[in-house]
Amino acid sequence: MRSVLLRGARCAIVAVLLTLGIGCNVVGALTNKFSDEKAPAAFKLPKVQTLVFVESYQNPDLYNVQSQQLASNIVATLNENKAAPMIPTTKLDEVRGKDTVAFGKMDIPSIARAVGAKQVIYVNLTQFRTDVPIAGTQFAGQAEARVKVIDAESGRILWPPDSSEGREIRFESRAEEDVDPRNLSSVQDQMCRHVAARISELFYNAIPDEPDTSGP
Amino acid sequence: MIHRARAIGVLSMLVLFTAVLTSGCQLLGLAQKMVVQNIDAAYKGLGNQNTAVMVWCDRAMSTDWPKLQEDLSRGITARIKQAADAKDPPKFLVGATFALPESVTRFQHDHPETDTQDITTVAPRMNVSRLVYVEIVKFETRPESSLELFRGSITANLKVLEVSDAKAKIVYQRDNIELKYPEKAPDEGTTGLTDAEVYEKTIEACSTEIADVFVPHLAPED
Repeated sequence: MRSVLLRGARCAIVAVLLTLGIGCNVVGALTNKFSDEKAPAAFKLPKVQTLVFVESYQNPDLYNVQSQQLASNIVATLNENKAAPMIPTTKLDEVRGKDTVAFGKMDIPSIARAVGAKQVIYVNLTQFRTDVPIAGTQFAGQAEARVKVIDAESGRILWPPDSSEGREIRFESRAEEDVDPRNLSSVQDQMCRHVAARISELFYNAIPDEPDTSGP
Repeated sequence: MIHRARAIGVLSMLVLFTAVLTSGCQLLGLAQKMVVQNIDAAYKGLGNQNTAVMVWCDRAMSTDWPKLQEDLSRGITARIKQAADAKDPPKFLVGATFALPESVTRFQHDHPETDTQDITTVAPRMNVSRLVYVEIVKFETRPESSLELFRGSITANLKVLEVSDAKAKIVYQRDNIELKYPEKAPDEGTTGLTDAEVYEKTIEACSTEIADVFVPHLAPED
């Protein structure tokens, strides 16, 4: 009886030793597999009134519709994740609608002050293309934007510190279950959704939007 | 009976040995991580001083990268300022103030003659008591040998000048600061990057390296 107990105790000790030896590799692997790992925000926005302003800097009328859709998506996501108090996009539309010519001449800090914002998430939408390849039937899209945060009082760049042009964000359309590649608006919606997600997640701890593997 | 006891002993040793083998160096690694290695600032004279960060590069570089001077200047200033504005800053950074990087670049544009002048004669004209002067010797986002691929590289010289009574002297100097992005990519470059990303990350690496001269920091992980 005593030897059985001893053997049992020995087995238990060996089991503990083995568990200690393996460490938490298995648990770690399982956690990695099933948990939603959040990436830290690239920039924590100061908690002040924030305007999201999207335009094509070189030609503001070029991507007007897409810019508005992007701005709405970004505001919604940042509101949802309580990144900072956001100015509704309708306020910007009001200022723009009052006098379009005067609006075109305003600089970014002036626009921010006109809507009561203390900082601006400025998105320069440099590319938003959807084409059908030669002899193809499906739309393929490419979007590129540069993002920076500007202080409304001084006009200085708050983020990113190492690039005046802003952080580059890119997306290329791809096959997804709920996207019909023969439908232009479906592909454009997908592009807006992903670009907005990638821009928004710069400012809160987020599960990253799937990286683009298509290369430059 | 003795044979059996000996066999059990040998078996236990084997099991223990296997346990140690499977654990690798996790415990050692953990212990090493817990001992945080702090590296002190190499230059500690910015406290209660007004400092400007000036970046110089040749005309070819500034044609290719018009914002290079301003971006590097802003990156370095922002990182030192962040440490100085922290809740519990190092004593030698208390009271440090900084000239706007935009103003420094503006000064350079307004005074093109400074390009060819000795920096010790330029510094007293800038209305600052400390000047962090960075000369960019080389900057590229694609290696010369393979322009289709990407790899950022920057080489810079750093000088710190103290200005008093309208005279400046170099009190700290470090030459040939070389950084690459991605750090461990092949020399001929790599795919899957863009000029914009490589540009930003290379400047980030250089800003951090230079700011670390003035700020206590953790030793880089191997």
